[in-house]
Amino acid sequence: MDEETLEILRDFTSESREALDTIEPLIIELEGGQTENVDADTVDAAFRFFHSMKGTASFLEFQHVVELTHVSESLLDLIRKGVTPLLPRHVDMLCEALDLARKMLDAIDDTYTDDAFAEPASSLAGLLQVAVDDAKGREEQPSEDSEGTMTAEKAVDDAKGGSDDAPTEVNEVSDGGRANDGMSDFFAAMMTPEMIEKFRVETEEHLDAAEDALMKLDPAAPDLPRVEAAFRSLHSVKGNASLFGFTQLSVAAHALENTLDDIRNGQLAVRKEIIDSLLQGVDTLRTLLSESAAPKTPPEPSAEEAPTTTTASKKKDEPKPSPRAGQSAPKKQASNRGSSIRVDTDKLDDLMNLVGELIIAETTVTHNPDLEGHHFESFQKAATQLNRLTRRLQQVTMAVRMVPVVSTFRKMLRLVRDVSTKQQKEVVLVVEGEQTEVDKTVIEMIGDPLVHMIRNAVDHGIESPEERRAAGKPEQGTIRLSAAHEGQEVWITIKDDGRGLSREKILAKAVEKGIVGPDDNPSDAEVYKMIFAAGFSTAAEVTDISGRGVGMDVALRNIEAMNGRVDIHSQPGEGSTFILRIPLTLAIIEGMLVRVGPSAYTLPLLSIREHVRASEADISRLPDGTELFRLRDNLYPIYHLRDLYGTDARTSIDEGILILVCEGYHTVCVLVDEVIGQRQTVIKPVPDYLRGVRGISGCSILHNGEICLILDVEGLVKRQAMAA
Amino acid sequence: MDAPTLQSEEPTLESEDVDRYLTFTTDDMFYAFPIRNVTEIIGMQTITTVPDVPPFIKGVINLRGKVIPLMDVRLRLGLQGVEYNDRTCIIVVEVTDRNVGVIVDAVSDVLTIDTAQIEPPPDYRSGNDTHYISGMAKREEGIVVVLDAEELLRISETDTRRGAGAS
Repeated sequence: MDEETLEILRDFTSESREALDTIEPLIIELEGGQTENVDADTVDAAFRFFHSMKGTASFLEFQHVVELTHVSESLLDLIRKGVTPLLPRHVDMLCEALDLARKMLDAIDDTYTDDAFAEPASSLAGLLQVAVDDAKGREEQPSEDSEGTMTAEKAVDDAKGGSDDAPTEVNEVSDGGRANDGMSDFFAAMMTPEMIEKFRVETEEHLDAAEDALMKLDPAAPDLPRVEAAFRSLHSVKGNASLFGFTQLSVAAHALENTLDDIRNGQLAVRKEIIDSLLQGVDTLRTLLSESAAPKTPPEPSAEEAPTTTTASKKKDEPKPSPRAGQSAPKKQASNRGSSIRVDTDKLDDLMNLVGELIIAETTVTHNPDLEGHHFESFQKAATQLNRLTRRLQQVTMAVRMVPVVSTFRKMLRLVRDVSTKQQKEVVLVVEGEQTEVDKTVIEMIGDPLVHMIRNAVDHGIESPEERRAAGKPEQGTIRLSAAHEGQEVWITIKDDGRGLSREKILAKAVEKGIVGPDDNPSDAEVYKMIFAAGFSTAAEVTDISGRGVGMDVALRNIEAMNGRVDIHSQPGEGSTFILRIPLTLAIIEGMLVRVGPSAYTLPLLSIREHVRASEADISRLPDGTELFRLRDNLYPIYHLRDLYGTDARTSIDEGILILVCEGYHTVCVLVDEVIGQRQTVIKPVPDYLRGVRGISGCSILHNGEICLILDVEGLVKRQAMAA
Repeated sequence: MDAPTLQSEEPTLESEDVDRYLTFTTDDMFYAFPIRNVTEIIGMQTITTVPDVPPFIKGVINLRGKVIPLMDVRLRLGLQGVEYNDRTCIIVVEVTDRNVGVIVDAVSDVLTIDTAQIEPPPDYRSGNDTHYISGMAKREEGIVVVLDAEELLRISETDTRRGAGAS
């Protein structure tokens, strides 16, 4: 596979994947609306998506993708034309088609073929075809109309896809009527000006190559490689053009390509006139290109532009596209396009790392030990200025990495739909604050926990319609998913109006699992948190959705990996609320710098409750050596940080400072030698080489270049709890 | 503070480094790393110790803003540890995108060893202890033990547990 095809292929998969993500919530939204009054823009957008994908796939010869997208498109076409209303099973099938398409794209990325999907694609396509036939049967007349107005390109693809009764001669359709307006809006909305510019340059190169090959073609002794070369160039033009939604260009290139194909197969003799008209065709393509490679697509060509015969291709320079009218892509996708660029996430990570290092380097200079005892006035000024700039740079870099949670939230619409359908429950997901921005790493890590928790809410939280009716609640359950900034954290709230968490059930299960003793009396918050324990499920029955007790523990682990936490509130009969509290950024932490012996450590400020000087008198010792510190009638176990290494002599309690840290429902005291102060530190991960180190969650670098370990309070607390 | 790096001395060895090795001494024995694994050589640094790691992991250092772990090659090879002195060096080795500093007694030379000269380690069956040795080469200076950097730097579960138990 040559470089060029590979490039097209990658563009195809990445563009299609992005479009998939956009289209899926739209389709689900469609269903939410009145089926009688389907939002035409949305159906159009979905139709165009499948259409564009089909066009490119057929060029790239992914026949199974073509098969699938073709029927999906046909179905949407019928819906769009009002031949059939959008039925729930249509949405099911379309969603399945999207899923399958996604898998195929993955396979194409890896193996450059979709062969592995022959079976699922054709079986799903079969189902869709049945739906299409049904719809057609429903109203014979409009269905014929719809074929009459099919676009030339579609007809060609139909022929390729071996579809039922679509006309196979392009000419027939060309007479049939105008090509479809706005065919390319959807994809055009995805394109950045840079991409279009790249497309323009590439297409120009292809056209030059084609022209060159055609010029050198001698009618007396036709040179097949030349024909091949011209064919390939035009083929690429067609593929690119259809990928970018320049239907007009793609149709015209397709016509030329067909002629060349005939020559190639020996069906058409090479005559001078044919070469002339082909060259004219290339000129036409150039004209079209210069007009269409403006940021927006030109209006569609009139139909006579698309015929396959060479004679017709001569005429192509006649129709001049009129200045574009206001072409409106569906408004939902149109926002903010054109003012942004795509950047490789690796570059962003690099930038972030560099800024982190810059800040360290800056403090190394401005707090350099060599400066001690001196007072340099102009140096101080310069240092202050440098400091201000680096802080600013840091803020800007952070801001660059911030992305809205909208796409992650939208995915949940589908999830709720699938799970509630399976459960035969009626659940609506209300999404709020989807424009709230969080660090992109957070976005990546929040997806899985959300899936588990929302699934859980549908499965366990929301009752069956009968139960709800009996409880005097509306049959339709509501889950509210919202995001908002709260100080240095982002709070993602999942609130359902279901049955709420049952303290008794959870407690009984916890006792059974040995998590708590039968006589323990933990607080509500403690009890609720137990649902995150591994293998914990109070569901009476294991369903294929949840109840196996895996999932929630994974969710919690992901959240904790982001230094986040979960707050749970619940009212029996009224529902439960899960609040995921996640730091805005994973790269910086507000911490307390402490010293133990020669080493410095950072304790996350979030987990510190207070620090106190204690005396021996406040300490009680248990027979097993555990020391307990009494503060305001509470007893807290003491953790000697030096024990982390097992060897050093302990600091005596009189000399050290006790820091009360709490994690979940445990509070322990950490004994340190000295509190140095509060610092904002850039977190660096512990080298993954040392992964699994307990008690340490990261490193940071002090201004003297020394590494300071960031203590993992939860790990410490657990350690202490285990030891106790 | 940084010693000059090998790369800056010989920027052109890229293409022919397949059979070039950086040798270092430990207990009068010569050991060698394939030079393609070596990023740079630096002097001893301030080490920050890390809890819960195998004994041969001495901690982490700050290498120009990057936190990299340090392995004491003596302890890794099961030899007796020694005090670090001013000849002690850290060879920064890169394996599968990870940098690890390897503490050695002293760096000696860059050698070109013909692949044909390298013989497999004497006994494969003697257990796990030779799995990080990719071969031995006879040289005028003596026997050079060629190390497989990837294997040497791999920490197994048992190592970690051993370390945790010892602390």
